[in-house]
Amino acid sequence: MGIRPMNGTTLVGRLSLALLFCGWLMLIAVSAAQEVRLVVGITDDKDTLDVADLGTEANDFGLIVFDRLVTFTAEGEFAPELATDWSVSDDGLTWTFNLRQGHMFHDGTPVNAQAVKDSFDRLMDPELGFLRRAVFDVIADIEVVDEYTVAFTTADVHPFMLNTLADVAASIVSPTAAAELGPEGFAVNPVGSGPYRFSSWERGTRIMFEKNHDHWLADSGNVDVIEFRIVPDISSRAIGLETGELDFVMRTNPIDAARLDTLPNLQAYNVPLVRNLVIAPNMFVEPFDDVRVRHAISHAIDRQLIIDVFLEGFARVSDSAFTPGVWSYTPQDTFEFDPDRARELLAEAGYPDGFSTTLRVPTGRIGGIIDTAEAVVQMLGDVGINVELDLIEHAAWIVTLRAPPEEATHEMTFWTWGTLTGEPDYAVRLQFHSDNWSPTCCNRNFYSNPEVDALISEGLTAIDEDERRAIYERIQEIVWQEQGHIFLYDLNHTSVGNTRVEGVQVLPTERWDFRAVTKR
Amino acid sequence: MPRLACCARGRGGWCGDDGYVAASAVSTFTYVSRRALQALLTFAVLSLLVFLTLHMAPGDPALMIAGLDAPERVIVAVRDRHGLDLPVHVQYLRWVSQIAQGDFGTSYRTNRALAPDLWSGFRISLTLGALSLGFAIVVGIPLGLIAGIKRGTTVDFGVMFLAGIGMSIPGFWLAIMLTLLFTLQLGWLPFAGWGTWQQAVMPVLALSSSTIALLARMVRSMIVEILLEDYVRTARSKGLAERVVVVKHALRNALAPVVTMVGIRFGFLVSGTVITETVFSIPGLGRMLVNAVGIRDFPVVQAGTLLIVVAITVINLLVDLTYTFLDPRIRYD
Repeated sequence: MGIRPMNGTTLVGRLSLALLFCGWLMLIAVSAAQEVRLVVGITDDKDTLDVADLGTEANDFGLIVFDRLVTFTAEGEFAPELATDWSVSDDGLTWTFNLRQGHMFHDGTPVNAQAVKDSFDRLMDPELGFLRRAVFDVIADIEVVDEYTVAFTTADVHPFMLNTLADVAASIVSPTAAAELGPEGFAVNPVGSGPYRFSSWERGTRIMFEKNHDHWLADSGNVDVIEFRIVPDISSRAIGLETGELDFVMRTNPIDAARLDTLPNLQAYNVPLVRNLVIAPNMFVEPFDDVRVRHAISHAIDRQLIIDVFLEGFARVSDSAFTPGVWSYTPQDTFEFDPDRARELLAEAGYPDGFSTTLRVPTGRIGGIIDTAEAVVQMLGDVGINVELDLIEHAAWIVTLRAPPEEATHEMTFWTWGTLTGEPDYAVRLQFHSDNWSPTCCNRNFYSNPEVDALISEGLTAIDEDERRAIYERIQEIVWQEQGHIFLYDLNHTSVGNTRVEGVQVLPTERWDFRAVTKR
Repeated sequence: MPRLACCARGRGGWCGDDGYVAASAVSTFTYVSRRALQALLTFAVLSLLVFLTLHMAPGDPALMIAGLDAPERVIVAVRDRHGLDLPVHVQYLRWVSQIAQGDFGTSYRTNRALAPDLWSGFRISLTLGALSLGFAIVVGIPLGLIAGIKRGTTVDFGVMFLAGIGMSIPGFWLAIMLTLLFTLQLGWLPFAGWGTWQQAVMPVLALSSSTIALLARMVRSMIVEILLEDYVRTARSKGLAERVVVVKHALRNALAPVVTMVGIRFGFLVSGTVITETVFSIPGLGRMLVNAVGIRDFPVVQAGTLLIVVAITVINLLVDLTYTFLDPRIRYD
């Protein structure tokens, strides 16, 4: 029994099949090769993909999956997004927005005034209890004026309405999808109208988004797929950038960022953030109630040295309670590094031999904080202030901060604040108004100044822009002079990206905008 | 010991020649059940310890969930929703009854059932641990054997020198060094992630290095000792080939303590993978647990710890049972 040879027709049939198969394979290979993928390295997996339930963790994917009525530009101005133009009523209480027409959500339903209203009603629904709901308490009513016109009314004059509406939590979600999926379903399958739609989520590994070809930004970039790759280790992210497996990383170590910037294929985005780092002295603990002592501490610290040595220039010496990205920011006279002056002031205040105190340092979340703490200890020691470090784990630190004045155990503590909405009120009221002492909110060191309290309230109600600016300038003056916080430095972004990636917007309000990116 | 009638189809195996269940089978069964009861007690005590430690440590899960700036009423609502204001023993008993019914609970952080994520992390850590252990056995035991046989030669010194280094190198340092070499310099392997065999190479190398060293040293010293024993001299004088002497007689006896070590190392590998998982971005249980502790996600910590304790207990039980095969002198009556 020999081998039966194939007859002619079988041979032709099989050859054609083989050729077709090869052709198909090549087509797949070619189309896969042509897909432009942007790989972004992020630190942690998201808890949910519903931006209504997230803080700054939404400030990356929230910008690509959703659109908002208005948005922040890199210069801190407001630009149209879903709203093409807007106006405010004479009494300042009603804001009317005209929407762009014909835009659709990813599920094909139209983005119109009713959808905007439904989206906000859902966000503000007390039953659903979303994390970011309270921010929108200022909105008293939303009216659908006509198909593409929507009006927001506030109970009191809210001059910073655009800041509120540009917040990532104010993203417009598809009400149809939200209703169908319910909160739990929407949390793992967000549906918006943004330039990228949610595609898949491998927990702990990656989140995938693919281009929405019907979006008005579709031609402004060539990226077909955006992959958020979860890489928890900060050094690992730096390695990923070097090998080219990561195209962009939002947070790196300042030392890595400085080094990577020198490589030809990488660049650092050393952009100022609206976040500062301060030392908050407990106003109820002597001698911090004496302004001369606070000035002494401020003069004793060489901020520029800390920035040069530990932060590789990825920060800037603070010169106001406001950071430059905040409306009405006004630079003040800085407290020069002057140990002699510090000793003089301490003597004047009755501490010629200095005094002892503790500095509470939260570990694990703020980069470089222990180095900064040790430098501060040395610098204060030079002028006679004996500082003992109290290192505390982040979660435990949070609990101690909420203690009311009679139970508070911190003498000095590090503290950080990010004015993420860019609003001057957000920069001061929660931190410096005496109504907001712990545990109510965020005035953690019990600062109190009646003049500042009054000015803060006035700032909210002032209608005239010049008047408002004058008020916030005065607040900055007073808070700075009092050194209610010992202001150290304003932080910068430590984002690094491949030079072949263009169009990534890294914004002071701790946002990363990948809406219109080109990858060469 | 009661005599149980054997309903097996024929003789042999569990059934003795007299038609009753063989004594050795019964005694193994009793042994296993006794161990199982011990295990249950261990789980109870350990889970209680973990529970108490979590609840007594500073840090408030309600604050972590709601956020530092949340108003008091939100925090109270969160506490209420998760039963965090109930007395500790009530919370513990609620948790125990939940687990007994197979409900692992809801994560405070994600607000979803934690079982799927926990299982997926557990499978990954288990795979990583098993691969590392397997690699360590395949490399470490032969190395130790060679060093033992060639005691006193350069080979022996070489292997022991390497073993010394392997035991002293910290895992995360090795992990990063491997990445610098294989990823940055040579470009052979991907820098992070889990799923392809290329992504498994460096994590397994990094994790197994200390176990290889340990096994090599252990096997070497056992072999050296055994090769001096009388029965080995007898085997040699019987004219058996050296290879047969070594493998059939010496190695078999050397393995019992090695098997114990393997069981212990497995526990360490499964629960101690957090650093490797973090450096290589592997979504395993170790990393999940450490993160959960940091944000006070109690249900995840409790369920995850319980899972690890169960795994280690089962492994150790299996290890103990294999002794009966390795060493016929060991019986459990």
